Amino acid sequence: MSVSVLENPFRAGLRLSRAPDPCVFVLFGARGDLARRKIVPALSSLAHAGLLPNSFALLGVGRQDLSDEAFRQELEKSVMQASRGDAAIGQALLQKIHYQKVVNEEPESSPELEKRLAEMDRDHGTLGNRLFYLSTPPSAFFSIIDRLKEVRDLSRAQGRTGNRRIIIEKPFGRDFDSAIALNAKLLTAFDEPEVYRIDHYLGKETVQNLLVLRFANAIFEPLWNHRFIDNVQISVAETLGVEGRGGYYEESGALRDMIQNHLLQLLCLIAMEPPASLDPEAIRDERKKVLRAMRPFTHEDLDRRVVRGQYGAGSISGKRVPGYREEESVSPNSNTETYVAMKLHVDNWRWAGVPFYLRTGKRLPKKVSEVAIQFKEVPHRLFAGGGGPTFDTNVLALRIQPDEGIALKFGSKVPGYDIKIRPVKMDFQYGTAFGEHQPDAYERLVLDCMLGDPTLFIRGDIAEEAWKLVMPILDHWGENPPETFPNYDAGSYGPRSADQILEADGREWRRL
Amino acid sequence: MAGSTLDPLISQRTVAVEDIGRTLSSMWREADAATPENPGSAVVRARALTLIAVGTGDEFARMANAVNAAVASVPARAVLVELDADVADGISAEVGMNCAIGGSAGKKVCQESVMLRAAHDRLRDLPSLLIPLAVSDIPLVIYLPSTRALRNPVTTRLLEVADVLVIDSMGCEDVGATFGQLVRIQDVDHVIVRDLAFERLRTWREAIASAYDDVAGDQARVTTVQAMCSNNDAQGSLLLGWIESRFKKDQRPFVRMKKVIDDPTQQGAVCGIDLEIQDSEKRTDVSLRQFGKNVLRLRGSEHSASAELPRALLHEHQALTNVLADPIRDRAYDDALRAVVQRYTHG
Repeated sequence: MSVSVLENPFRAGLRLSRAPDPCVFVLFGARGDLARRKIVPALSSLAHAGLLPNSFALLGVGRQDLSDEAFRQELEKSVMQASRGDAAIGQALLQKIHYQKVVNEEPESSPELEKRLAEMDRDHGTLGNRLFYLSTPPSAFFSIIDRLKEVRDLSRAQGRTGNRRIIIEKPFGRDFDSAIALNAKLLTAFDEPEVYRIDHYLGKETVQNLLVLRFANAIFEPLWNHRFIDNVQISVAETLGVEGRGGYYEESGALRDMIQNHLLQLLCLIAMEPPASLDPEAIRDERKKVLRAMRPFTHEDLDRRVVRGQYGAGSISGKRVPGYREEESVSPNSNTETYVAMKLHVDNWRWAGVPFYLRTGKRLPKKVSEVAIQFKEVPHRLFAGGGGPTFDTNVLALRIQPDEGIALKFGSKVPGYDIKIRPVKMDFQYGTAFGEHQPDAYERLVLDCMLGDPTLFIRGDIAEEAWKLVMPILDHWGENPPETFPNYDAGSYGPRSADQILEADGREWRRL
Repeated sequence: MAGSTLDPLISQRTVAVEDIGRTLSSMWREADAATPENPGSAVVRARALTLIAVGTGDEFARMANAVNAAVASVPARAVLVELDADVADGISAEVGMNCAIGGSAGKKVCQESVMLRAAHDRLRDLPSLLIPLAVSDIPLVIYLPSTRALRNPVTTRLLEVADVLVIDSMGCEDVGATFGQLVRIQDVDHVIVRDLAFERLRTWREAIASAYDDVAGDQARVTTVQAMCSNNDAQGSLLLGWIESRFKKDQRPFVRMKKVIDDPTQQGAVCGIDLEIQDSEKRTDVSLRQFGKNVLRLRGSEHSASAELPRALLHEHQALTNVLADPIRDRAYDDALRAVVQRYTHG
């Protein structure tokens, strides 16, 4: 999806039509879990693939005093594991890693950071280009942005130039107003094209493949509308609980943590119109149009269209697990939802009358993320007369994890003398059809940002639109605390009331 | 399956040549039975292409190693053919199935392996065995580990039905004639040609492209290039042809070939290149060397310290894996090939 102009004649036929610009990758929250598990391994893997620029350096930023050497030692395992046994490449990357103490709330930190970055430009030839990655709790965003604005102003005063980009981790606000405030704050220090709001779901192969599946194959798009599709089910099921992140989860809940971003973005890719080109803004414009076409929730239909749940104690994979209210850092009277199911409508020509059912939950029996396109029945049930065999409808299932791939369910005659129909599956799996290394979602997204390609990132107005859609739910829930929490057992498929959303339409959830 | 190795689930077994197809079909039923620990869904068939690799005795073992390593990453129905073999019955066939644990669900992903050996006087019968083994709707790739088999009647017949020819021209003696034949295969037989001699240069091409990025001016161009080759100039010619063909005729650099190392184990391998990139403000000298040195050096660049990276040429199996993973026309190679042919034709 890279959209660059071929400027370098030597790049024809190579993996990238242009190389990432030289840059210092400034990682806030550098000693955190996400940095160690995802971001640094992504950089190491890119180095191994030869996709980092020659002139590159990583500056880890944290609140503690730490030497470059001590920081390198902390990251050595993450770097070496991801460099796939190539010690020379891992060691070369480690030598480009540095550390700087920054107390985000203290303006005195800004000149020190600016000075350090200028030194790194000199040592590593990074030409004043910066990629800031905010891998911190959202509470730190505002003060970091203040410091980055000061760093920018100091650099400009010194006559230093170079491009600047910022990657910001979700949540992008915790409601519509705070999303607007965060976007406004970002724009004090960056222009919108410099802001990359990361949703790692969009970096997954199957998600990227959605556009290819729909717009590079002639067989799907003619069926991709209300005439042939009965409903769409988007499910993100997790077996895990809050895993020590109870404090964070108490503030977010499943609606903010999953629906407002991951699931709605998936829905946009499923429902969007073909973009005129692969230009990032053309694709993002089409995604925004989907959000704008979604039927708003009203007080009258909200309880019929949305269900929330919270898990109680139960069993996962044969082991007893506690209920949400017994988790660490969770209030024993918590009303935070760990499960959400909802029915959405995209009110446009293509999707008139096609419900989109979304569900996500923690402590469900299986870890599965998938989009299932359920097709309508045949117009005349030729094989169903006189008590004859029936076949439920075709399903195109797009598995995002685990086992990324696509499966098509259709009816086939069972061998024998009479007519019996049995559903069978044509199954495509990335892991078996393509043996190649699949880049991790972070690897792909970090590279895209370095290349200046925002296609797979969330634009500010899209984040705001998504908040606008879910605000009536948040308001309604705020005014009406749940009466029956916990309302599903860990290890079950969620509250019974979630089934009723579909049963009211004569449908049922797909078994995951 | 990236980086994994294939283990035999059903070992190679000798079968009558007329039974190859039937044995392949029956093996899948056996494969399920061979994994009783996880019945039903344990074995997944994987094949992105049919690969027919054709070689003679002294190169056959090397070819088989490269193919086995490559299909561990790019699943294929792999058919290995040894020409001019010492076979009592004229043609012998072995069929087996190799597996690796693949996918995040840890399923056993298996692929078929066929080995055919044919005596010289039975070569004309081989295509009738090979062509039916090509699976429909996926690419048929012919792999020749050297240019020797290019004129063989078996190859000629296979090229009539193939989609892609993968060849390794590195050791070829008569570069002009051989490359001319490859151009004809593309133009007349409409078969995509890919050359491992060119694919091995990918790391160097990326290094040169990066060096050019660093110069980056609008007027940047390569002024002079010197390639050094061992024994013959097959790979060096491709590298020079690639650099030449990246620029319009009036902007093409002055190119020179030098044969410097007489190393029979590196027949035809490029062993170094020096080039000069010039824009309106600065000049950057780029040097790449292999045979124990494997470095990229940039001189005149602002950032020479950061530009020293290990840049080994790819090994045969890595180059083959790359090509099989993306078996489509490579315009950069086509242009390079034609530039070499033109140089040989017109001096």
